[in-house]
Amino acid sequence: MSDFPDHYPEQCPPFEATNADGVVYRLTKTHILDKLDFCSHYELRPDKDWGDMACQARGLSVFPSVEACEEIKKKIPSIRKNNKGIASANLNNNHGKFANTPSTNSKRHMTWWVSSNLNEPWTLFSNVDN
Amino acid sequence: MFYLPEKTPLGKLEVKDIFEFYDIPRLFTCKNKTGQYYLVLSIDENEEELMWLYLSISVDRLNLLLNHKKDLYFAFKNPEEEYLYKIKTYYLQKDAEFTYILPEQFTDDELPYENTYLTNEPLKYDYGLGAIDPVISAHASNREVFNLHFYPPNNFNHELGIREFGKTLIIFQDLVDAVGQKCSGKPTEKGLIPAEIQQKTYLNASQIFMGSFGFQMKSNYLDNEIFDYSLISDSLAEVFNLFTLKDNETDLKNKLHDLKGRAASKYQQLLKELLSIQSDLKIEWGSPKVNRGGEFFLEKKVIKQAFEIISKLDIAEREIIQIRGRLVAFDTITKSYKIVSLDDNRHFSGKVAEKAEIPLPNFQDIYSAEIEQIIKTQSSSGKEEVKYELIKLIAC
Repeated sequence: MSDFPDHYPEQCPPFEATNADGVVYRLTKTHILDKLDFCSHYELRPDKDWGDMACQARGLSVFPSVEACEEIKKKIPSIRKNNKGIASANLNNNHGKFANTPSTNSKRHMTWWVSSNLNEPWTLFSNVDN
Repeated sequence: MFYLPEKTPLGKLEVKDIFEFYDIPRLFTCKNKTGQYYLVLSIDENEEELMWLYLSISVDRLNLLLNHKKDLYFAFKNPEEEYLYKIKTYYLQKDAEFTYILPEQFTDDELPYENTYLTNEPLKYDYGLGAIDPVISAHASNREVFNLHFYPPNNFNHELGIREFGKTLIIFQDLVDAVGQKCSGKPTEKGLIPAEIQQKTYLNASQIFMGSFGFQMKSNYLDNEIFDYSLISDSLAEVFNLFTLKDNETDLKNKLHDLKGRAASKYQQLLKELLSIQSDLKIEWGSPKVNRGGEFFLEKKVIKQAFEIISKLDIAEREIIQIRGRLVAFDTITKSYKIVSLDDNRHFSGKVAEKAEIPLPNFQDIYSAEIEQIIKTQSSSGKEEVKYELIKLIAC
């Protein structure tokens, strides 16, 4: 089971989040996996008031497929420019929780709230040839 | 919100739909207090700042993107306002920076790739039906837009009888198809209009509006022609011209002669349906082509006059019907027949055409029959008379 850091707001992860289970993909700046690739926006700027993004800012974006990673790179110039690699990991319920975001209708994007038991999430990931 | 600029000419913004998300929203729509929508794209970022393109967008253009009729590259490369806003926001409290930018100032790598589209996941927000103004709507949607305004003389002047209105719309589509066939250079007086033409002249009902009863149609066909006119544009131009001839007898006769019998009979039927609505008619046409479009008003009495003029013309609509059936009666002296369709049990009876090739009939046989349906509109009453002439009979 997952625990989450004390700084998480109430109802975060949200009610609809489920235990992490399965292979996920995350974009990385380079092909060398780095701690910074797995820092949430909150961790990078803990003093910022995240307002109604407080819960989302504590999670990490992951995709259910390589194709979904490639698709967002084609559409979004900032993602294409700043993310050259794709990494994958097979996660289980010890690693945190998932939810489809930004809405429950979103089938191609998930937010992963990393369990506080997992100190070095990047060690679970390996590069995908792309 | 760190990704929405504040204190800029864009106004106070509220996010409506997020289409792409990666740690933060990357492609989304927002709306300001005066109702202007923006499509927002994340184009660059670093640890402190985020760079965005804000594209001012109409509901018509947005619907084009949501329906995947145009891609994201097109949207950002062809802004309706001809420019975009480049906006820098900061994670920390700092005012956003704002500049105007022209689409030609971007490299393709700073835009979504071609053939990428907005996601078709269910939307959270309803953007509405688009502009009523046909010119604005046509330019935003790249489609022909035709508005009809009726002024019915009843107690509910923003309503119209379904029977009369429904018939009017069907006949209007038939007229546009018939004129489209003429414009394609392959007019026929009878038989079905080829599906390839009907696809190009297909109109969609897009919205009703006040005015007094306003109704908007849009071409289903998207105008991607840069220099040429689409068939639906040509057809609507001819139909619009027909209306502008009002009750000018000579011009109407000449034009209807030019358009051939099928279009003439459809226009006659349309005028008849318009008469049943007992309303003046205002027509507004908007086209993606800048030199096309217009506005015209037809008084009820002019519609009546035009109908009376056309009714004096000899207009017949012909169509070939092919059936498989059993002959139940045949008279070689009066040259008359009766046949029952095996497909739907429909009965056809009438005269045998003068030049028909008919074998000696055998009532036990099953026949493949070709029958010409002739719809004649009586000039005095406007009443329709339908005749079925047997043209060909072949034993199966």
